Amino acid sequence: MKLLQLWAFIFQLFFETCKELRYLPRQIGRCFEQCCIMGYQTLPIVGILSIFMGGILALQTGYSLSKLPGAQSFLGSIVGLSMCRELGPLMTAFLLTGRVGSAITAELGSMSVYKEVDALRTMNLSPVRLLVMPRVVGGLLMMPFLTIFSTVLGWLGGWIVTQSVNFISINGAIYWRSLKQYVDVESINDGLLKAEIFALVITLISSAMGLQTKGGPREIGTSVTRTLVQSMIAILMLDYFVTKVLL
Amino acid sequence: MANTKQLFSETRNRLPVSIEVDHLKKQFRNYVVLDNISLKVEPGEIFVLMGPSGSGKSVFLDLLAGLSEPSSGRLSINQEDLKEVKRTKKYVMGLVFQSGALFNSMTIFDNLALYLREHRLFDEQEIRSRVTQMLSMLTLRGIAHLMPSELSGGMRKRVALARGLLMEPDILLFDEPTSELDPITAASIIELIGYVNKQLRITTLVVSHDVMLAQTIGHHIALLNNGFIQEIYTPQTLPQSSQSFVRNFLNPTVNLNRPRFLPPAS
Repeated sequence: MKLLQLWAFIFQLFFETCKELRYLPRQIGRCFEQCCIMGYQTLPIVGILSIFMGGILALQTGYSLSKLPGAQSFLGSIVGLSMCRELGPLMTAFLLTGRVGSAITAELGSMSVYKEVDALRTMNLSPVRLLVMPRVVGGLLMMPFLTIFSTVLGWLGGWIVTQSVNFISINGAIYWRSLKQYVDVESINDGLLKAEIFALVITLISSAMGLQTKGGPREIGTSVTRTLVQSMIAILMLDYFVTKVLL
Repeated sequence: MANTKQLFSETRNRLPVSIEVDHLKKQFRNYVVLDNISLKVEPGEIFVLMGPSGSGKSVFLDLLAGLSEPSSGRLSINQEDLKEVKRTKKYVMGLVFQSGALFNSMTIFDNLALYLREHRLFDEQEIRSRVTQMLSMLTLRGIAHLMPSELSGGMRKRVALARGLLMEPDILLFDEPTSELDPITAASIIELIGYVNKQLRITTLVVSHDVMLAQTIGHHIALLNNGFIQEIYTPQTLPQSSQSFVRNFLNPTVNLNRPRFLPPAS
């Protein structure tokens, strides 16, 4: 029952956010601030994670393919497609949940608990306009950049592994040729579409959890945990259905 | 503080409004917090709602501020239903929260300017001048660049009052304005509320358990007991009340041998 109420509130928040988009020009400063927090400050961790993700993928796949003669020449396409269609958007979404989603819930949760949200309401100011909409817009604007960054660094990670591990016997040119051959614009677009859906879900869930927080510091912690759990479940479920539609 | 009136009346010159509460009831599931509350706050007066902790004073204030819905009964301002007033934004209400509820991520200046900026009431230069003037009126000069966490409790309450006044409200609501303050700072807040009311004739409702506040600045005083208001007093009639609850509230006795929260000895 509580879960249904939460999702009803998330949908309500979505429609209210759409309605408040007409005030976007006036909230551009807040949106820019959110872009900095979500994009610029998340970049290093996305980079580190993606390089290793691409590297691990190349390592595991390269080892398995080493048993099939000539199959390693497909390593570039495997890493390329996996990163841009699946791992890039997914890992970025998980990172955004952990780093940004939890921060949104904690901030809005403490604003709810300490009556700052009520203060906005008494001033006839919409909390959705001032607090939720800039975060949703920030997430939607930054997620494609983060995903592309993650994908490219994942490819680079894969390439570094092909150059430095003995049992992978392909050179860099073959890796990049294979990658270019199979990774097309459609694959990149599919990945970006997923990323946008994930960004919307993360920012809405974390904002909803924050605004619904009541009680004290303990409840803020509980809301943050619930944000992480709900977002990750939602991301994985959506990933499955979106992939099914896109394939 | 001599310029308070000038600053306020430059842009608005409205008549004070009245607040009517009619058979108001609020319950959470089966627990009735407020039951059959009826009162009227006359235009321009200070009405003090007193009562022990947990008696539903803050719930009443939330209802009046439109932050929650009553279970039954009617709240109106100048005979107009509160819901309609909220929808049309006809009257402005300034609520000064117990904690101040200042926005912790903003400087004091941005806290005070937020309402004016978001409603696009004035240009930036005018907003700057109004905020600076308001800060100096409330003897808060030099704190505009500070964050709320850098202020003392008394200063926060004054900033919250400044934020409320900058909205040029028709109604000012205070939630426990003197709680958590030392007696001298509490007295200065009481003086400030009284002074602002005298100067600007804003209809004011104060929720408090501070007897001194009620008797010093209240025009009418009501005591909330277990969700009921039994009688409405003036500062003169309050001490003469025949009701034992009121007498106990005004002059509580302390008995160290028999603490009242302990169960009676068997």
